[in-house]
Amino acid sequence: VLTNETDEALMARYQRGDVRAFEVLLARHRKPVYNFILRFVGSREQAEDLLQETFLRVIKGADSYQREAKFTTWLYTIARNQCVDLSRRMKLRRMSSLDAPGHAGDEEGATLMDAVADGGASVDRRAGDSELQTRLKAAIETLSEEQREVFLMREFLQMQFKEIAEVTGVPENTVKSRMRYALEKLRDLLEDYRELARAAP
Amino acid sequence: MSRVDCHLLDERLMDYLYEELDTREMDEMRAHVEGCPRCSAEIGRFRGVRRAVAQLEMAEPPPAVSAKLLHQAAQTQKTSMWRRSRAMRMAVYATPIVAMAAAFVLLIHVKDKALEPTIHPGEVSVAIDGRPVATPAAAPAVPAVPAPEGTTALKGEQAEGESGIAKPSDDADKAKHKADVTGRVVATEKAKAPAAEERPARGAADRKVEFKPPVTKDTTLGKATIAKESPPPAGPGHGAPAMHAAPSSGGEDFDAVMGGAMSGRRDLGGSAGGGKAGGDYRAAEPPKTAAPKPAAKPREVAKREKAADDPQFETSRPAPPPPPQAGAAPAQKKMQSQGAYAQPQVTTSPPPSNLEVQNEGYQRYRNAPPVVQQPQPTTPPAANAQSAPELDETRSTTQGLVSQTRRQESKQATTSPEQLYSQLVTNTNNGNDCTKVMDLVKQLETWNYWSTQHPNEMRNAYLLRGRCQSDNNLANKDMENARRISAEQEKNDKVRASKAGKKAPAKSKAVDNNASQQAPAEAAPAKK
Repeated sequence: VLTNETDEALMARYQRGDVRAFEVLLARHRKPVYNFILRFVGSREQAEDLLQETFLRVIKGADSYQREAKFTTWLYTIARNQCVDLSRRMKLRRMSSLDAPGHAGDEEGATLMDAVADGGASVDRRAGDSELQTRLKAAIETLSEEQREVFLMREFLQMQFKEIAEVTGVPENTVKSRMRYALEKLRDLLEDYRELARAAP
Repeated sequence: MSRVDCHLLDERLMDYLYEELDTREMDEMRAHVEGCPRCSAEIGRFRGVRRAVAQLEMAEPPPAVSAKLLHQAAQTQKTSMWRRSRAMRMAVYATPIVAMAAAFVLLIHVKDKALEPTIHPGEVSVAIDGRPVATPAAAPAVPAVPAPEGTTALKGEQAEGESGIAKPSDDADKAKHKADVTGRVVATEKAKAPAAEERPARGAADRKVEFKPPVTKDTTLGKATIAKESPPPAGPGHGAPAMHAAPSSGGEDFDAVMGGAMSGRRDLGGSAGGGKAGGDYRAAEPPKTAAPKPAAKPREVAKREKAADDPQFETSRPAPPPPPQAGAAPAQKKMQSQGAYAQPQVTTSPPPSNLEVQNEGYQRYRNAPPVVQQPQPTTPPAANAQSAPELDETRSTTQGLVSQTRRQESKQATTSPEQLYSQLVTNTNNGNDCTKVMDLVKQLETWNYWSTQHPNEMRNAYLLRGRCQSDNNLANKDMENARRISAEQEKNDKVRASKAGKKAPAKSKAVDNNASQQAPAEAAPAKK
């Protein structure tokens, strides 16, 4: 019964002491949030920590949550802020300079992120097109933080531009512009997989 | 023709790509893309990127994180629930406490409201259950006449009519409606020759009125009521209220007084506290409507003149009251029989015993300095005081009671026990008039405290009366009383002797028929 309820209703139930409601919320949002964080920070361990910290903040801030607000917006804002804070702490920008992609088509041309990535990347690689997966991850890592967060929110969290603008605190058109730049950059990075693009209808 | 061109599509490319446009715009954009190879290629490339990104497998978060989060959520929720339940418990516990406190405060408030005087001076009824009330005049310079037996119980509210005669049928109703609070006013007077010599012409100061019952709210009310009565003129020129031989600080039960224990004081019901003499029985009369007493001074003069003519006393005695009005005596008797004097409804302490009252009163009579009456501040009449007809009725009733009391006053004047005993001895030496002996001894019997303090005199008195008794039973009773007194005296002597380390005097107080001859000889030193 709880799985059919909205996020806001579940949060309200959890505010009244129903832990099962939080369990449903966690099951519903942990994967997208985790992937958003994972793609944002690039590290599984850090992603796990940030995921835990994000939901802990939800738990602690449950009393202050107002039902009028959209739960996903509140949750993703927390997750995004966690990622931004970590990025600032770890100086991901400086680290990203080391993410120079390897040679195209080089099997060993994995990015530094791939080198330090956990086994999840290997699993992805084994599961699907490993080269494409690697390229995609490397391409996403090359995006700027503003572009990356918008791209991830839109692609992994399925957030609309309006919500992204609300979470990031920038105008919606700015969000769209960042999104477009992100897509264009990814398109350029994935030029080698032009056939993939051609296959698109 | 579609208005959408390549420029517009470029502006709306993201919205079109992620289908965030409305249906109409989406259709227009789609139509343009289908017709425009450039825009179609651009859209194709972006869609290819999206498809590629969509192929990224979504990583699954480790279950440990979820388990930790669920545990943390349960703990946090338990703490929150405990806080809420604690708040609920505190609310549950605090509610009855607050309710009890509120109830207590409310109870105190209601109690205070209930204790507030609700009876106004005009509604207070004054019952006079003492001896004949003295006139508010100066005390005599000579011993007063013996106090009469019996007690007059008057109740102001119950006595209605112009004549001041109580109507029995209306007494109960009046008492129910108005006489909510009654007190007792004890009017006393010190009248004794030696004392009078020491304190000559005390005047009205010798009259002392005490309001006995310690009624809480009613006491104050009674005092206020009495205080409205203007004090009588004090001075030696005024008549002597010579009926209060034994002042008393406490009230004496009316029943005890009626039972024969005459203490020479009178109780005025309906008030309590330190009132003053002089028309105390008229306390119910409001000050503003209090009628002047033009006949007071002539009455006092008449009393003095009559007392001067009386060979039995050296001083004046109260003048006889004006002719009794019709029905006054029966009404008074009925009031007495019905206990018309009103006991206070709220009494915080039991009335003192008869002996205690007499003791205190006698000591005060012997030792008390002249009492100077202080004019009581008059209180303004209450807003809801009695109306004019009621005041007139009360005034007339009070005046009737005054006259009635004065009539009894003249008949039942009080004489000190020493004087009574002196008369008894004189009578015995002059021929032993048994009738007078009987009367004097009977009066002496009423002085309980004096009799306990003068056992020899009382023994002699019993012996004298026993000889005069025609009835053997009464004679034996008097003899028995005399023996009892002798035995008690001997016993007391032994006790004193044992305490003093001496042997008790072996003098015998045996009672014999010849003891009566010793009575005068023993009475003489006792008198001294």
